[in-house]
Amino acid sequence: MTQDFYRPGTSLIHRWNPVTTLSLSLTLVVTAFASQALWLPAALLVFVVFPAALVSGVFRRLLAWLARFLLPVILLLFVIQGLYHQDGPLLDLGPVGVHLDGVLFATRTALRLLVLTGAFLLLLFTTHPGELMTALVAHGMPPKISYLVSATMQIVPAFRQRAHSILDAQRARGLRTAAGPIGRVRALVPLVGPLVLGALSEVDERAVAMEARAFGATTRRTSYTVIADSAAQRVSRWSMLVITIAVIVLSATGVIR
Amino acid sequence: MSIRVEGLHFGYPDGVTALCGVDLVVESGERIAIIGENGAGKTTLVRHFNGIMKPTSGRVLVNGVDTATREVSQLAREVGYVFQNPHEQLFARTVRAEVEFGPRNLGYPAGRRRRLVDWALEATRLTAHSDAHPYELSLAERKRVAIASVLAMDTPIVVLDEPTTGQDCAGVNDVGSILAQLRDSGRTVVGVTHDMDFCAENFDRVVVMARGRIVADGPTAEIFRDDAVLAEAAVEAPSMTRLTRRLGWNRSAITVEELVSRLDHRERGPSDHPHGQ
Ligand SMILES: Nc1ncnc2c1ncn2[C@@H]1O[C@H](COP(=O)(O)OP(=O)(O)OP(=O)(O)O)[C@@H](O)[C@H]1O
Ligand SMILES: [Mg+2]
Repeated sequence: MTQDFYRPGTSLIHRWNPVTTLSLSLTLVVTAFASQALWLPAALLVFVVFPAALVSGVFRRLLAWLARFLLPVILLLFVIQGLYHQDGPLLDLGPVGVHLDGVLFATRTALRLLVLTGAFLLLLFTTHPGELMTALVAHGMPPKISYLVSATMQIVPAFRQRAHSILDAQRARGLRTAAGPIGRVRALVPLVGPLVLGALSEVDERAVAMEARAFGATTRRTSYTVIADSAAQRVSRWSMLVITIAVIVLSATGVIR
Repeated sequence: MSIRVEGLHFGYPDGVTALCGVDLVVESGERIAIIGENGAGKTTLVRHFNGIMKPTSGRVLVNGVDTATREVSQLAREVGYVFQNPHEQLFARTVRAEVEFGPRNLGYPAGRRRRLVDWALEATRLTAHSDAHPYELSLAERKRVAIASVLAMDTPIVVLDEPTTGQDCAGVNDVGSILAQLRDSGRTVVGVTHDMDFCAENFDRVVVMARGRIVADGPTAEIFRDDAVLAEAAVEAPSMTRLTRRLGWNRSAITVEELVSRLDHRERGPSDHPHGQ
């Protein structure tokens, strides 16, 4: 799953330093949630998220995933908006009528969710997870956190592979596994034990191996893969940081509502 | 019980072509070894024999039946396959349960099952460990558990993927005597190995693979005397062959037995060679 998001590419955004893309995503999300105005998240979506997706060639996939993730949620929002009102109904349909502030609430939440999900899908689609981790460590994130994230992302494919090979081994010794998803699940249940046990003994061995290669060292480490960066990107990252802080301050002090 | 491979091609989903046009016939009762450098495609080939892998193109027939038309669990009755990596094969809580898993699935009656399991544990020197958890054992012992779990299935064809890796001298000898027992009971045995001495001592026919193809196939004694083939496949001749070649024998020996018997012959027979006595 996690590997399915990223596909290599050569667009401008693909070539960006992963931290730049991450900063963009975070700035978009903070800004979208800072104000009650509807036009702000809408503008971010139309003028930033969508063009960026077009430039990096992931626009259609982005729409497909947004629809898959958010369509049910958004539909639900519009159904339940009637419960969220203070003024009279625009259209009386009994308990779930259509109320102006309910519709506003639903639209605002939908737009914010679209920006949030869109911004992070954009990051996932255009950024290799390993490079993101390397870049973050290069920017001072503790390597332990990077390892935690990478290991978690690898554990699902690793488990799947091992489950697959044990199933093969069992069938090679005459186990008949019923066809279809239910048969597969039933065949997998007895595997949970050996899988977890195998994973634990692997963790143990890996910890020793990593310690033997100075994973716990406290000196500042250099990076084997150098991830491209540029002055322009550094400037833009600082600007995005300033914008984000400004938005938070302005919204907290009630300047923007 | 024969295996017939016709024009077999196999590509992994990630695009690696592991086999490109393999033709091979293994007759009933043969003992054949498959050798070749890492990545030559040996494991990929033998995984086709019990149907875990199905050809991308070409056919594999086990006893005349196309493996593509059979479930792996059906083929398990004919072909036992010892995985290269015991890690991928073992899952049960005890050694005994692991070894019993196959015969139980094949529906053997309790008496036969017990005899087979006892014999397989004995042959792999694991009787004392039968209640141990496979994870508690060393790699070499786990490999022997994997071998025992396939032996106990009592299949007419036995495929062993690198049975001697990590084994000490006693372990290698165990595998050797298991192979002898299998031969004596008429089984067809296919072994993948990097141990050329073991290969020379225990197999009658050798198939040499390189880059997804079979580059040579013949009696053990001939294959190991063919320098061109060994060089192409990047494998080394058995130590007796290298020794007798260095000694300048015009026909090199393959095994210790052969070397000794030919030396005896020289000692007793008319002296064709000037030496001390
Ligand atoms: N699961 C896999 N996915 C993709 N490629 C694979 C996979 N397993 C093996 N390969 C590739 O297929 C080729 C043949 O591999 P195979 O394991 O059959 O070689 P082998 O002769 O058994 O080698 P070894 O002596 O190391 O066991 C190699 O190039 C290998 O990298
Ligand atoms: Mg192999």
